[in-house]
Amino acid sequence: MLNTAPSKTGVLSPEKRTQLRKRWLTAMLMAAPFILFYLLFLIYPTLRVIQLSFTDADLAGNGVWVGLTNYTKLFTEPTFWTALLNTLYFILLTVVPNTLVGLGLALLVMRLKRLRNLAMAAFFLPNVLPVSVVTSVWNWVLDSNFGLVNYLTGSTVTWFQDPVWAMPAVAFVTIWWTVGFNVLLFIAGLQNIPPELYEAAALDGASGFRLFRSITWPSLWPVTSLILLLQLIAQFKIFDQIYLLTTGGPFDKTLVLLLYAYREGFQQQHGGYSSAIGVVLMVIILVVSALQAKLLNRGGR
Amino acid sequence: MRLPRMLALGLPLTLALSAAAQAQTTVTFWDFFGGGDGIRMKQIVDDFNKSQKDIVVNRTTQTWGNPFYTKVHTSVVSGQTPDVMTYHLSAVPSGLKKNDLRAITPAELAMAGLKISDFQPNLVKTLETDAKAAGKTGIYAVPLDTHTFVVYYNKDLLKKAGLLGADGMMPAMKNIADMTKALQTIKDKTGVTPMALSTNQDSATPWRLWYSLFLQQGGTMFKGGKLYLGDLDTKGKAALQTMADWTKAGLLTKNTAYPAGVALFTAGRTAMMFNGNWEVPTMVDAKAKGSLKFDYGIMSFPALYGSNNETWADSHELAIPNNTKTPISPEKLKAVMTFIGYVNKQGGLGWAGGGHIPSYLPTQNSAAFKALQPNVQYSVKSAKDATLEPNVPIFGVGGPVYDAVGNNFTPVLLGQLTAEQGISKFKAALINFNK
Amino acid sequence: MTATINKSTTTKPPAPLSVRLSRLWGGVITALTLVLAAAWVFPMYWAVVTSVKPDDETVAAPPTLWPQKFDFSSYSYIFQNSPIVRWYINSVLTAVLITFLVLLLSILCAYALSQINFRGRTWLYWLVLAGFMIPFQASLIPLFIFINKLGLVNSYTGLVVPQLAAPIAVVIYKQFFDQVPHELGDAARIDGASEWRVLFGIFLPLNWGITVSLGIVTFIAAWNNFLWPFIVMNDTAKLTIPVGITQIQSAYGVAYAKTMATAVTAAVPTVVAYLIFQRRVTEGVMATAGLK
Repeated sequence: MLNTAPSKTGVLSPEKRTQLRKRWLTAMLMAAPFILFYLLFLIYPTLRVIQLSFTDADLAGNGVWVGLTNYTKLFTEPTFWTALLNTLYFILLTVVPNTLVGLGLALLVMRLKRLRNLAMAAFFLPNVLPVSVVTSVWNWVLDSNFGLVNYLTGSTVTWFQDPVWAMPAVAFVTIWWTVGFNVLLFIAGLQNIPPELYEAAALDGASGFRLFRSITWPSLWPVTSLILLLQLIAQFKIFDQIYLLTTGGPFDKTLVLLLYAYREGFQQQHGGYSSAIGVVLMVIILVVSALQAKLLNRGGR
Repeated sequence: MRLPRMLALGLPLTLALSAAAQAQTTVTFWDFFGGGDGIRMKQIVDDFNKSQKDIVVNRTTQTWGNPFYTKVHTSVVSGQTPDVMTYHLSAVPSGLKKNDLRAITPAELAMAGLKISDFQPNLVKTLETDAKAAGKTGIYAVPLDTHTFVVYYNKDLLKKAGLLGADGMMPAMKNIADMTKALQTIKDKTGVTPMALSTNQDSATPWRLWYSLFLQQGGTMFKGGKLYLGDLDTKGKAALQTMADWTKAGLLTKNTAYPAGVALFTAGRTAMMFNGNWEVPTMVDAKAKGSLKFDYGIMSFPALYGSNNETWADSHELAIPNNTKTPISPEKLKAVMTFIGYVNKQGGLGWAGGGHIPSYLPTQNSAAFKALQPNVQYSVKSAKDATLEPNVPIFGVGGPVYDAVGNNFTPVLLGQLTAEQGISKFKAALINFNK
Repeated sequence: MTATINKSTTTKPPAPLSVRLSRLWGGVITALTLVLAAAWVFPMYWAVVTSVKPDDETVAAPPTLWPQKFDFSSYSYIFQNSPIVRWYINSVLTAVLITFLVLLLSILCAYALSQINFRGRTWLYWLVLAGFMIPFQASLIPLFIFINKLGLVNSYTGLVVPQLAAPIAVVIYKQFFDQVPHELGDAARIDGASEWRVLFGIFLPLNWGITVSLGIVTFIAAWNNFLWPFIVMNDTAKLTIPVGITQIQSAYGVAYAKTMATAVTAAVPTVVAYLIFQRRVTEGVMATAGLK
């Protein structure tokens, strides 16, 4: 790396200054294309959504300042609270279970020798499917009349339309779809545990569950916390599976924040109100991300 | 040398081809027909493209209902509209409110060799009323058909239950008790669930049944040009109660999604099906392919409260999006109107094969349509009974009334709310939407 | 069960009976793992099998685990009656374009941030890191309005550009570039090589592995992206595969075989890509999760 960052430009020779300017120009040329897209399509909309949330804009972006109206309406609207609670319920059903299932499967896969890659591929494969393929496959497997699950169990539950089962069913599909990601991370974590640790503990007479509790679990904790937080952030943004499997139904039992924002913004043309929902979602995710950054920093040390 | 000769031969040909391509007008056409009637529409478009050389219609199908109207609106906002599209008459009030529709003048109709008096009068009148209510004048869509709610039945199963008349057809039930008795007999004698009604992820079907039962009691939700809720607590509740009772007694399928409802009926696992006439091609095609293992019949929706025959109906229109960013060019407009003319005139009978009743009177009155099977079994009576949805923007396909039905009626059918609670929540939702 | 993981590495000599027991136990666990793995892929198998059955067999009771009669008409139906080929082309083009641009932009930006000491570097890196936390989903409305103002709604450009704004690849590349020994670059610079030469001649070849891994992961993500293409595209013919196939699913009638044929067709590229590049995908996933 070229060093000597100029602190006092005044004492530099002309050649040095040209050189510095040239270097600066090169750096800018390299960084600019990405930074341009980044500012235009990520940062600008993020600032604009805050501004829009104080207007009654439509989808074309025309609207006038309405102050806090959208927010007062939002916080007194029962549908918003339904959507928030449903989102939290979905998080409850996915984040910890998905992590635990991932850990369990990773521990099982680690035991295999020749078939390890095959088993890992089996658990990870759903992960590479487009969401609409996942939802149409499960819509078919869980079809209430002709689906395989109901045929085998004799059940008549309509999984994705039942007020009680819809959310757990979506959560189940989500776990099936995404757990492979967690399995991979856990396997990486498990492989990083030095075998000497186990050997030492075994010499001390530890075995069975005690080995897991005293060695595996503590050593895995950085990975586990990372997975938990990645899940948490991802699941706050849940939209695709819900839209495709239940469209928020039955009777708003699976309506989540992002779907609510979509409905209001794109289907009802309430751009300002929808932006207010977006701002709330963003604040929540920023808080969770800040938490993640803090935890990751600690884990890194 | 070979090369120059090939060039000499090839060049004029290429030029001729590109000239032909330039003279052609391409028309982008959006519809929402995914099933049997989609195949009929595809046929009509293909025939149109083959019938002449100046216009090529590119048809694309979008997801029916709310997603379709959401896409139309975003396309109008962005100025990236199709040139012509299908529309529901029931969605016209909301479309006018969103400024998604462009007026079609008599002169433009004349380009297609059409005049407004060629179309079924009540549909035209509804279009005019809708425009007036939105503070506009004229016609914002061209009616294509009327479609309504009918009863499909499995003759083999009904024979087993002893419910088939001497003519091999099912006699219409005369009242609710009569209908309940018939359904119970089917259940007792054949063991199958008597009636397929889709209620899952589908607010449209329960809405159609409920609205028909509500209408037949003389109920209305539109009085003096405004939303009227006075009949809901009485007639509306009674209609919902009837549906809840049937479901509770196991006479209607519970928790069945739209495709499953059709599959249950076509697989012979229900004896009847309440559904729209657009499933006619499903039956016709299945029968032709030999995959339908029974004889079926269709009857118009029976009058279950005395003599009032009114039945829910809607109408498909052809409409031009209101693209203000890049308004439609005169050349394109002419092509669009030519296509609209073709669909109604030459395509009319093919479209009727989708189970629909053509709005274009010359087709509707033609001998060929009057002899069309299986439409003859219901279309004359259904055309008379057809009653459109209230002319208020909250109604119609893709409108918020569907949410209100899904959120408040479906729980009643599942036994989670009483009919009374369902209706009062439905009323509150309508008031909220109409604010 | 977890305790048995490292039994093989324990040094204590076990008694014969416990050896047999633990072998048996190990066998049970292995069997259980394989059964679970099979169960995990079963829905995919079921989709494939359903797609090659005739319509009436798909709804027959009892369901047939293996088709009694093979019927490929669902495939010919969807190829003839839907723009699925067009959607495929759209997906391939946009996913390849996104992958290429994401890699190129990230490599350039990360190199500047990692290797060139310029004024504002720290500040710029913080700006990029801040974006790490911002969910684009929260600002769909302004993004749509902005893309619309640019006249890019319903265009491939409008579909692609917002997907170039995610900073994750920049951050990953910066970490990789940071680890390249300084001497390599400095030696070249002393010989008069420009920064561009140093990047493309030394740094990129040294990090070819992560480039391939990130490329595949970016491609899969771009191929599977649903929400933005769903919002920005109006025209059915311009849709990508994941959004397009939801259009076929709304078809009426008995359509289970057709729906599954559509799903299978849509899934082929990413599944094949994964099966071929399994190790690379794993690497890429690790990198995007922040674990190298």
